[in-house]
Amino acid sequence: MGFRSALGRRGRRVIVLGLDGVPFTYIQRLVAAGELPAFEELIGAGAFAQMDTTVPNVSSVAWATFMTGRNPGKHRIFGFVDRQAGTGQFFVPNSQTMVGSTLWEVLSAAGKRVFAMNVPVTYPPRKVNGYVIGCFLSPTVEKAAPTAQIASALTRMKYCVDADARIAHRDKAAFLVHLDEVYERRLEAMRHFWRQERWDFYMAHVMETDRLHHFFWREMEADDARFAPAFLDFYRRIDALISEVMSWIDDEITLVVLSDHGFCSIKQQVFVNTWLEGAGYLEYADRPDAKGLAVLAPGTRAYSLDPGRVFLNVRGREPQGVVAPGGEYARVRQEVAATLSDMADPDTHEPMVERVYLREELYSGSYASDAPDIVLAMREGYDPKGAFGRERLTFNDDVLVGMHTTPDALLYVSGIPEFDRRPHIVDVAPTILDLLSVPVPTDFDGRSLLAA
Amino acid sequence: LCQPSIDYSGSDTLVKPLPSRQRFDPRFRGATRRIVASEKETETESSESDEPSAPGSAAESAEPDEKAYTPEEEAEITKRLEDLGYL
Repeated sequence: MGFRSALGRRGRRVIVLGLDGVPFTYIQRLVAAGELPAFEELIGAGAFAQMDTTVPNVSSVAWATFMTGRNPGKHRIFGFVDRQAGTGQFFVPNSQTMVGSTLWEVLSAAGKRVFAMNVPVTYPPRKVNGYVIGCFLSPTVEKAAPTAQIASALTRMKYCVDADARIAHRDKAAFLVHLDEVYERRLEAMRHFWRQERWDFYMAHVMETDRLHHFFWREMEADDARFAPAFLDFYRRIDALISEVMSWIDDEITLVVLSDHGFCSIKQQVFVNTWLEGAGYLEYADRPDAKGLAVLAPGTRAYSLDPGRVFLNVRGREPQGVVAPGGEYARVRQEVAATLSDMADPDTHEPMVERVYLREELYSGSYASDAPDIVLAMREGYDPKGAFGRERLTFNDDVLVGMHTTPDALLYVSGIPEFDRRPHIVDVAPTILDLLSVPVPTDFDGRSLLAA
Repeated sequence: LCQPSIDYSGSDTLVKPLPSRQRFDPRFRGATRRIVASEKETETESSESDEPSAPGSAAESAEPDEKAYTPEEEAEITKRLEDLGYL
């Protein structure tokens, strides 16, 4: 008999804590240094492992994959921006455009009471047996709330949907103070809603870690005299949150902690469209006011959206498509993939691309045809951007200094000795369903990580 | 983004001491290990759970009542994503 025998008990409950962009290896390092006593305690009482995430390793794709248990070819979230079929105008994918039942919707159908707050791509909040409070893609606090009563409570708590990154662009020190305040308000909301009801499933998501990393990761790594101590102090606060959540746990509750990607310092931001232009695959229209794909001239054969997603300008798919489906598509795609794999740092001549994926290598399902034709996995430090009209291939500054990495997300589950294999973020939802003895939908791509 | 907005001016102290309620409470040291032990003890007592019916894909999202964003809101969200380096 293993731990699993206890997991099928009636009344089993789960708390999930999402820590956006927290790397497994960074937690390991701080625990080894004795900086995170609560994490150390957790790790001694459950399975803790490095976890793989999606390609691309951007939060919208990763958390959509987490909450649906399905690959992006099924849930249809491929990035923070996408293009409208027919018009080529850009839009921000959200919970309305995400396809498939979420973890909390599956639990709702099984009669469980659920609560989820601030998980990326949960705006607008969809109906569940309980409440979902929308994520940082919510325009306002009021619109993030599923009911007027919850909107009122959030406003009373001075809740923030996200930290204001504009502050970081003006004054990084001020942004740290601001981030701390946003985090405190998030914690207050977490405590408030935890006390509201005896939830079968409760999830709260901390976005502030990702924001800290984007603006301070390089300073942390460089042991910057001013910002590195503040960075560590923020992690002590995360550890304090872990400690507090531990105080909520009773013997019915399993605690799950996960992140969606790792982090590293940026060496260069890489403007992929500049490379495509230089290689003769992209031309700009002479239309200064154009938006979306209208900025491209009809002769364009390939373009990129953030992060490292490359699309061919396919006839019948893009509004001014020129690449014929079939043989021409296959030939041009191979050509573009080959040229992109040659991208090198203009300063150091170091290769910038780790791997070039073709769509079918990453995605399957009804919406795989909406996916990028090519996806770039970059070498650490080279952050692919989808901006149009940049003259230089690369750019570096002291504001945005951290970027996502793929193989260094983390997963923790209390009360089990180990996972039965290396986790992938798509496996987390079926694992939680397994913990709660709820059958996994047959079209999930992930599989439970609990040993059979 | 915040409601009401935060007045963060007037502080240049980047490292603040943790409020006492947020420090690691030694009372919880060993707490999760005790939970594991408790589960081991109750293994033999566990009975078959009432399996809920398979949800399959029944829990599809509710039809949205309205579009997620007005054009102004979508422009604002796009700007936020740019400021975060996501575009």
